[in-house]
Amino acid sequence: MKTLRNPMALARNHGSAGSGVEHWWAQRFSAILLVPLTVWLVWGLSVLAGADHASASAWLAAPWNAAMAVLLVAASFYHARLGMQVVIEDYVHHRALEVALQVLVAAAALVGTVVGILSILKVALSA
Amino acid sequence: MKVVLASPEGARVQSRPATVTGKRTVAASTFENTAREVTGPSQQELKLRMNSNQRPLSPHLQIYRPQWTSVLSILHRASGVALSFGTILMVVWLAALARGDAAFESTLALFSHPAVLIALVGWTLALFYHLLNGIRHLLWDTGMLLDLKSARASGWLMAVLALVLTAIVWGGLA
Repeated sequence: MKTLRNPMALARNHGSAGSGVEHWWAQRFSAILLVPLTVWLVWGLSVLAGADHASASAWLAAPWNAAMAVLLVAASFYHARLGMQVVIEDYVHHRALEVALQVLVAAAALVGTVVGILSILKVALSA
Repeated sequence: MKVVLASPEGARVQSRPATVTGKRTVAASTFENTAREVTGPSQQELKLRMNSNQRPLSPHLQIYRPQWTSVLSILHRASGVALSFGTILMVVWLAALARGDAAFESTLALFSHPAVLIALVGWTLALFYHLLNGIRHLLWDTGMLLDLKSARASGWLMAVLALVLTAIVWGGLA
């Protein structure tokens, strides 16, 4: 099929924004990872409902649960950052505000990932 | 690539400008005559539009009549944004667990506040919705279920399932 795109742009596999294919795939990969992780989360929440500190810690400290929790935190914030990035690109038309929000979202996702994983490790390693 | 451009063939094309230029002049003047007869924004007005925020925009949400499939698509974004904030609550819970018994108890007390409980029910619904509709999107990415009938039907199935699962989770807790 004949394409109207610039041959060099096709060769570089880039869209009009200069990127996009990587973002699209990253969003799908993290989405696929999040399907089993979310099912695990729902099961975990049903186990943890009404649990006190000791039993919740013991549950999270189990190696399998700790591993799933670390993966869930990392994949969630990564996927959320990718999604929020597109939402901001689409709806925030003031350039300075857009860049500020992109930085804020990226930083918040990073902080959330670090705090979440450190918390899980502390519980898992001290139990 | 530079080698190709510098080849004798390329040079030969450039050595025949007379015919090409001649043809192009005829074509260009014909186009200009036609263009002048069409009424539209003047050159000056076009220049003004391109340099200001009055540049034409493609139609947006308010132009289109809402449809079942488009509403579900918009809700996928909305639930995604809601979940982004909800993920922070998950980290608050994890950090409280790591900080110890007292911090965990006070965080649980905060989570049982009516306003937070309502937010948590909304978060559960957004989670199931985004999970199920996300699977629907992934199936579309493979080329499945793309016809209008399947898109509508899978949309109904997914939306009802999200509501039922939310009801089961919170019904089980209550």
